[in-house]
Amino acid sequence: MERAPATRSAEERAAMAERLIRGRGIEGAIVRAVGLDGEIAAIRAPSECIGRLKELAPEVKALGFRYVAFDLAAVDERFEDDG
Amino acid sequence: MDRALTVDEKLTRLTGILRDLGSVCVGYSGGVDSTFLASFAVEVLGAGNVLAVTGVSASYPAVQRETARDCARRFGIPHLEISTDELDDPSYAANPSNRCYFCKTELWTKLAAMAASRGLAAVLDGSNADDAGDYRPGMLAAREHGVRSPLMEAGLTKAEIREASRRRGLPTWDQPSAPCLASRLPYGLAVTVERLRQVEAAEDALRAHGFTQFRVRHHGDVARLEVAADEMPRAIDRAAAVRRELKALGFAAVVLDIEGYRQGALNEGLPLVQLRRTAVAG
Repeated sequence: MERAPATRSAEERAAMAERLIRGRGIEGAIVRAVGLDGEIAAIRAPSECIGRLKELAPEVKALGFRYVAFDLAAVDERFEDDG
Repeated sequence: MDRALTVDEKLTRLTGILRDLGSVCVGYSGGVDSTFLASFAVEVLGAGNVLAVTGVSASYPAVQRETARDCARRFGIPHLEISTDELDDPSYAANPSNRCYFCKTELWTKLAAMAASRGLAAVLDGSNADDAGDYRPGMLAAREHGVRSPLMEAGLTKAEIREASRRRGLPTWDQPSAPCLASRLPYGLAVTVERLRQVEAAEDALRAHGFTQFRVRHHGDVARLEVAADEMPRAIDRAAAVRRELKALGFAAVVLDIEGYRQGALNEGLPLVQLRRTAVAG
């Protein structure tokens, strides 16, 4: 699978990943590029979708992420924005 | 040729190597390999001819230190702890991909001097036959200081060392591998005492929640958790508490890696981080 150009901004990669994941049936998923250089796709989605997200991980990585992760804020009852 | 040898035959070979050396100083972390080596050396050479030495610094987890102390006490291994100052070395602190070389240079320099001052014939490490093909810059430092690797020389694999440890009643036989805390920082992110303490406290928190095989990877203000596949449900179940506890340690966000725990995961980003090394270190 061909990787996306490294010059693509973190915001662009996050938006593309979000479209990809929503397009595969996980509606309402939110993706942020976090980490030292936006190397992590942090996904907020229902926890029951983790198995499906694991299946999609190679496609998300192909957008220019090194790691695909589930944002624990998604299941925190005292949900607050990490900023 | 080693594939054809049984574990017992390899242990016989190990016995011969140790007898030829006569007296040894073992680099002892309390991990699977060095604990087996130190206890086996005591069995073969007698406690008077063995000294197990642990290098202690902020990169060495306290929980591992307790294991090392406990095993030394229980199995009659003469044990000494010394401070190592690898964090004072700018080459180490910059966290290049060969960081282990600088750490081990500090350790083996001190152990070689100690062995010489005590009249011990050789300094040993716990490298095993499986380590031979890995990217391990620390092994270069060992070779430069004349450190011997008798487990590797005897052809013993990790699985065989675990089995031999189990047969000897060593509690480390099924212990997960435990590299130093700096291994949780991506290459290029400076190694600092503060970051190491964050990682250690975060991993202590996960251990308290019952996780057994996991890592907390430090990505600046993000903690990325890797847990074993069979512990993913627990991670989801404890997500809220874990997130709050890790945020209290200074992480702005806490995320769970979808792919779970895997050794060497930070090497996945090695080429990019090497390019960015001077840009992100600090």
